[in-house]
Amino acid sequence: MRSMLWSIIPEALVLAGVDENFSLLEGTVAGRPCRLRRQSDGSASIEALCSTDPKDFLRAELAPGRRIFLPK
Amino acid sequence: MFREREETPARPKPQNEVAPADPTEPNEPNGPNGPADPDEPGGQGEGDGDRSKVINELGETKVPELTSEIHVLTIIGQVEGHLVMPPQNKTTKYEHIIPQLVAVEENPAIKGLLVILNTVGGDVEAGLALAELLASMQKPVVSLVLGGGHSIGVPIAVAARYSLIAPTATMTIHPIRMTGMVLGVQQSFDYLERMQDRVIGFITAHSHISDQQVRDYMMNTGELARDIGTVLAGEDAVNCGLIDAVGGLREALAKLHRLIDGADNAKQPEKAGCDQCCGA
Repeated sequence: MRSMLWSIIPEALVLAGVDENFSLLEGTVAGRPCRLRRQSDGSASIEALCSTDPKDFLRAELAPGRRIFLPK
Repeated sequence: MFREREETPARPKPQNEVAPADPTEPNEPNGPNGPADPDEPGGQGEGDGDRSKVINELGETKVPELTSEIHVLTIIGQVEGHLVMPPQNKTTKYEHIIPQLVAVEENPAIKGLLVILNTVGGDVEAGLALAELLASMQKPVVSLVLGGGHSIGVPIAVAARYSLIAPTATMTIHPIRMTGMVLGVQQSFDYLERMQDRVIGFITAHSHISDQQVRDYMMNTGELARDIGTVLAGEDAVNCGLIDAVGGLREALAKLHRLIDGADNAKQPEKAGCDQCCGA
């Protein structure tokens, strides 16, 4: 895995755990397909919005990092 | 529908579409309980219990709503590029910022963009992509560096039509590095050098600092303990021509409003622009 980082944080810290296998969920939030990262408390956070409409990226409810409660 | 990309047997597979399970979810003013704003017709108000639950569970609170002709974009943590960063990083994802910039440029209700930076750097190509887009926007863009605008944050900050830095903020200029396996051959060094030239070219074309000055700062061996480079604090960044002015939110908003009104367009000192970096 190779990338060109220009950061003041040591790459060992930035990339710690990058090789660990983690899974992203795919779901729909507010009618738009998203990739979600599962959190330790059972919720999920938006990792990426999958949309070709630029307006969707101005919607606060679809911003990366927003917590989503998964149905039980 | 809802499915796992990579199956992990230990985790139960959710069956339903992801939907807000909690009626107190923010950003949903017309959720199941109706309008939360007591001023809205039919609004029931938001009880203290609900409000504290939102803060406790989501880390969010309801902020005052306003109608503004300015869009605010925050670039924080690592600028994330092609590689999804591990969860200990706070990241700004460039694939989200790029369409946002397109939407800002296209939205007639938005007259100007304020970019607030507190970034430690990140992916070079993702950062340059954002910087190039910001520099090529028709609408006025003002950047404000708070805390830190390090590494790839430097070209992003100078890409704005006018840049400000808080007095206590810093910007670190240091050499680019490459992760992963690197062959110890001349070609690897040449590639890094060419990438560094691209970045320096962009910085000098969109600010008033000279090429030699950036290289001197970048290769300075007398300042950082575990790296080479230079840390520029607020006033230093202005004195060397990297950033246009020292200021805060008040100055940034005032400048942006003047640019929107067209009052400051003629007064802005000329920067070389993309003719000297990418030719755009």
